Amino acid sequence: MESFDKDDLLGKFFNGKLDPEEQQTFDRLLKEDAAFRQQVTFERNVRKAITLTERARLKQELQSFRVSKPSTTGRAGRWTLIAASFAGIILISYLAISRFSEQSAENLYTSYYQPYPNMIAPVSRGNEADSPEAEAFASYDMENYAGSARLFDQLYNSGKAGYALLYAGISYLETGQTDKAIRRLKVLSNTENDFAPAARWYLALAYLKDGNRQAAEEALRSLTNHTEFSEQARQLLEAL
Amino acid sequence: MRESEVIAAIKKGSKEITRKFYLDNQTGFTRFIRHRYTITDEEIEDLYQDAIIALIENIRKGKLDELGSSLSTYLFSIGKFMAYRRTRNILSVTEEIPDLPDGLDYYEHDDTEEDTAVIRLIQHKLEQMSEACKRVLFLFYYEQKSLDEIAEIGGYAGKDVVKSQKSRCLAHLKKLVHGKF
Repeated sequence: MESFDKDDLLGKFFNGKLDPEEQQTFDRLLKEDAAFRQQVTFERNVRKAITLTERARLKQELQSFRVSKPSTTGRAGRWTLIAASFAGIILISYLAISRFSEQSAENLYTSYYQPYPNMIAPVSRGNEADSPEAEAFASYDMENYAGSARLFDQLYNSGKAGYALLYAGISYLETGQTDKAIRRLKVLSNTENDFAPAARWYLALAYLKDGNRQAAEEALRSLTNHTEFSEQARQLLEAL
Repeated sequence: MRESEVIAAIKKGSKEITRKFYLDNQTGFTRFIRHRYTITDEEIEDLYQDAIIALIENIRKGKLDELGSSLSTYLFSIGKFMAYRRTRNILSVTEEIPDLPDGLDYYEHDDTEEDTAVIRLIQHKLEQMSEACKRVLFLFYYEQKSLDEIAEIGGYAGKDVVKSQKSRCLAHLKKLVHGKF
């Protein structure tokens, strides 16, 4: 009888399913019963051996996925990346548009939308990491948009930094709170801030998501002469 | 592809989906860790792979079947935990000491030399065992499957059959390790 109990205890232990009472019995046996202790050690080692073998196999598999080493993307590199991603969006949208002559606003939103890259936060070592700004961007980079929305709002309220409105707006777009996104993006798009064009672009997308084509068109028209956004603004206007 | 589908695919061992998940999250992860710890890019890559492995382990054990947040969030939390364990060097003093997300586990296995030799021997002897034995032991010790689940996966008549099969395999392995074969 006793040996059956021990087997079950061991099984539950390795399944991670001991209840507190069983855990007590397990601990007692571990202390008092040399044969039991030896068996636990052996099985633990078996688990370790199997785990390490499998981890080594997985590690090799993951290393084969590596295309290139991740590297610090400098400011110029980041712009290239943005340009490339917009080019990609445009191409995809063009293909989508040529296939369906009439698209729903929601579909257009989905094909054009992607979150604006983090252009502000210090991403390299040696920078202040515990500033509210860094915390907000860390959440944003982690795609924790509920958190970043709150943090960017706080950031804007304390310092009135324009970009905080932009990133708060995008965060709210991500969490599906389109009305909150529109309110923030609208404020920024009516300023002379460096990020106002980006705000207008996302405002247009937010209106699209909301099904308000007319307002989206207005926001887009204000962008057709701006270098960063003119191309996709024109594309999107044509699609509307 | 929905998160639950990604989880199901990784659980089944889909190399393609694992690869996609790996590549999709690498840049964000690297940026996230670099920003918080004093650590080289090579170390981050190594850490990233280990975090992915830990995530896969937990997926296989069924610990992420009821997802509380997104898979990427779990991955980043695991990374944060591992980076802290490895560097003990946190840039932000206000940040809490990270822990693994609730319900997840990961055995670090920092071993003494003596232990390592025993483990190597067991790894070697395991290779000599039958496929059936390897399978049962893998499902039980690595994936933490219950005897009932193993019976279902392996097509055994019931959990008692699995239980005796497991005992036989374990006893055989023990003899192999202790040089009695």
